[in-house]
Amino acid sequence: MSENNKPTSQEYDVIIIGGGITGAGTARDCALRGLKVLLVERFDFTHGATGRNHGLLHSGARYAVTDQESAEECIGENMILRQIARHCIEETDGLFVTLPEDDLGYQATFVDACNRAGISAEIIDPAEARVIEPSVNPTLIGAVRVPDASVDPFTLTTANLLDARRYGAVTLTYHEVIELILENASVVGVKLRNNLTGEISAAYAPVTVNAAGIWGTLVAKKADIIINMFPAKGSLLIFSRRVNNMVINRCRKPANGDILVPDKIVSMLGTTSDRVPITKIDNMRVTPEEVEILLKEGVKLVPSLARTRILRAYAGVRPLVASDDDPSGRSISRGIVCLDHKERDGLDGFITITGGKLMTYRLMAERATDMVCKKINKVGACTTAILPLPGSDEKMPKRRGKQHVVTLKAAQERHGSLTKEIKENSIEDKSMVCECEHASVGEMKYAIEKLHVANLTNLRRRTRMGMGSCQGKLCACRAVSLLCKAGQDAEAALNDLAEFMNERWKGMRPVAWGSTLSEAQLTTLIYEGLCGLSMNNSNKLCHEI
Amino acid sequence: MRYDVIVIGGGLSAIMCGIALTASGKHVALMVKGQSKLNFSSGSIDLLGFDEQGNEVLRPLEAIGNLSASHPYSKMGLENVVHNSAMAPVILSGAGLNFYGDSSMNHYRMTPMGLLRPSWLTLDDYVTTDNHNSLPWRKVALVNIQGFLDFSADFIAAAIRSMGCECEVCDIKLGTIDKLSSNPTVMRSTAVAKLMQNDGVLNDLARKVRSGMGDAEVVMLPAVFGLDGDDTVTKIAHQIKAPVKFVSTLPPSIAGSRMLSKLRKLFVKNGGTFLLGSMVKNGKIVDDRVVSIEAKNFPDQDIIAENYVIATGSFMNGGLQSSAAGITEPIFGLDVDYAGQSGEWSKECMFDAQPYMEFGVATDGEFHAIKDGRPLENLYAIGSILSGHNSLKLADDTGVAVMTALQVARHM
Repeated sequence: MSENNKPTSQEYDVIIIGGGITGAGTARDCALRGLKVLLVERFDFTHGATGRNHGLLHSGARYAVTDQESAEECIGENMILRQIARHCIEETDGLFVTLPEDDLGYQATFVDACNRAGISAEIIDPAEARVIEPSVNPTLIGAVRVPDASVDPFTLTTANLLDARRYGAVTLTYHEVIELILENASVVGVKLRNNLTGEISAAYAPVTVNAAGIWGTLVAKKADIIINMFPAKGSLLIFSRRVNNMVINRCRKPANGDILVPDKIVSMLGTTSDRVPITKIDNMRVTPEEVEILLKEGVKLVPSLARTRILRAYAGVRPLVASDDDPSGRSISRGIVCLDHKERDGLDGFITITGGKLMTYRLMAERATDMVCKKINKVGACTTAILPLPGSDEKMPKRRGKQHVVTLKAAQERHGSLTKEIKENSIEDKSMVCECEHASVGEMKYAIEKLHVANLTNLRRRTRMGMGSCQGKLCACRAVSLLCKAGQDAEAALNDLAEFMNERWKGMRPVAWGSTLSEAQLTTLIYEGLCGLSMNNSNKLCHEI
Repeated sequence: MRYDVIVIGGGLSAIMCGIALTASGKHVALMVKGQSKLNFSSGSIDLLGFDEQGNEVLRPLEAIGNLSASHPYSKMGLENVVHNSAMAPVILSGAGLNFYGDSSMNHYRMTPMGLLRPSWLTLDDYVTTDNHNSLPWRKVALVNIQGFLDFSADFIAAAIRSMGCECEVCDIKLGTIDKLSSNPTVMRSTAVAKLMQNDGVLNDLARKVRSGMGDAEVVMLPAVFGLDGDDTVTKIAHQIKAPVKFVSTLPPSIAGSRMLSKLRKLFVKNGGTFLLGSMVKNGKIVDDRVVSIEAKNFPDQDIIAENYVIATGSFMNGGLQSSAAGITEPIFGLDVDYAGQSGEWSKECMFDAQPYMEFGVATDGEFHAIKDGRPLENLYAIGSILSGHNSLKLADDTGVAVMTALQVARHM
């Protein structure tokens, strides 16, 4: 990765700050319109909120009653993503269920609001709901079927980045903006620190896009610009098996613990919403109270959750923005916010794209790119709504020779048609590294070579290795050997392994009782007891949380 | 069903206790539920690797005197630890298990990641060294079997070299492994070990090792030999025609199954009874004595003994159960030593000393289990279910298992 993780030049048309889905989408859009793009991310791609949500491809139904505009944006993008990002999406459909304690009268309001926003919402008989989604609370008194789906945010981000690179963009991980370079009331570039090596460098462009999500407020501050952000912590629980096949929502105003999304081999229960101070956003921990609230509500949706092991708990921070004329934050929008800081603050060459949701990333990218083009007088139409992403742009490759069906199928879910790039040259390539996610050595090698992988956490985000029910118990050891083979120093690799296992443990800790505690004990026994791993010399310079 | 002693459990402590009891003529049954922690064995038994301050221990018997009063060794007293630690190798060798090491001085075993950990006894055909920064060889050949991912040859080679030893990695492709890998989930140590039971495969491996090892003094192999008896161990050494040493792989541990099967044989030879697949549900307690126990697989039968031993392990084995509300011992409802709410049972960093590791059932000085504050006269607790020490940080898990097993057996 060191080879392709360096700036190739100092001059670009646009610099994008942030390697989440918004930054990746903006990089793709800009590159497709012929701009010379540099994207910088201070840690790993999808490190922030992109990698910490429930992976719900909203139909918009959740917002239909309270926020028509968001609902319309959602259904529009929902239909587009199903076309351009097929391989990142599992078309599960969703149910909005009414439980005995809920007001069935809300259902009519809900369906009506969905229809007005253009969202198909079909009332079905509770008996039918029990048949099509056996996990649902059998006492339900109402159900509405909507076009919700499950989306893999990691894969989606990777596909956007791959396409941006295909069109010439340079995308760097572990490069943090430490300074915005100002000249004549204009941002003309950024000063960067390589968080792995400490190396300082600079890059220049007439426009810089701040796409750093909640961290965008800190980026803007470097130019003394105040963006009134309201960090909203959302906690989620991951269950150790796929409990439901359809997305299940509560048919009531959005509240805690009322969405259960199937995500490949697990289920994700979300969410809570609590304002947190901006100083805490790098250190999100799920509290016992949050776990309790989520479980209490989740069990009402799907009773079997009470008997299912919780794999881990984690939290993301939504980048909610208060409108400028409302600094108190009373009317916080979940809509897209695209700020031209020349108009707003008198600082040229600087744009902030924030607010919004994973769902609307493409639209956010389109708006930001439109503004970039306008600023540098570049004419070009947005094509991201019609051009399929890499992985969804070709037919799925056929099985070759003695290729294993399970690993092939799993790889196709993660990489779509790009699975053809996974080599199976030897017995080793065919061996399975991660038995939960069916990831082969060949897939790991492809990710290490092509997808910006410097450590195990990067590898996890590209291949889902270690995300299943074993949480890296054996696969992390196997995968780190492959990093070692790819050139990583053995001592550094062992530190990486210790940090990776520690990161997995942090997610288990808020739910460390019952079988989760037993699993944690076994994992510690293997890594610390049997293998003798410790946390001696971990790389403090780049401490990812 | 009547016995002198019923031991609930099938791991190292249960079986050692069973062997010691049968050797003294007792009529003993082991009620075994499923897999034991020996599946994760390193091939070693550790008496005490570190003290409570985290310093490495060179002479375990000397360091035991400084352990806190809650530690099982402190409970039995140094004299008994000395006695039991002298007895253990005798019993093990009686089972056909030969170990390197003695309790006066620790040595080091090599872990699957190539790291060194202090140990008391290590199977004598596994890699050990008496020195923490060197190996007793100048040139080593390390065998890697292609496609077998649970052996990190790269790390081990790097470690060997860092200790000033030359290391030649023999990367070997086995002709037949293709068939095995037709199902990608089965490339575990046990599958490779089974493959080694085929003479053709073993000879093929040995031939390739011989041609690749150059002038190495010793050949290090992944520990995939000796699954059912010593057959493959003897054969591979004979075929390679050079000294052979094994390095542990990731679980399942072949060393563990080697130990388990030999110890089981000795127990049965001594007249002990195995009740496999036993799910002990509960025990009937009258006047501070266990009167009988009930098991799922023996419905409507009271299982009766003079004495009972509980060796059901810690959380990972189901010996202890936790919920957000608290920690319990599920069979007898014994008193459990633990403190605080679930959030306080663990620490933020995985590699910190985790409080939950010290949780376990409460016992008196003779390891009688305690229920409702009162010791049960004929129920003893041994092994990982015991409270009062962090077996990971002290590296004393297997030592405590063996010491308490022998102590309780002597006491009966």
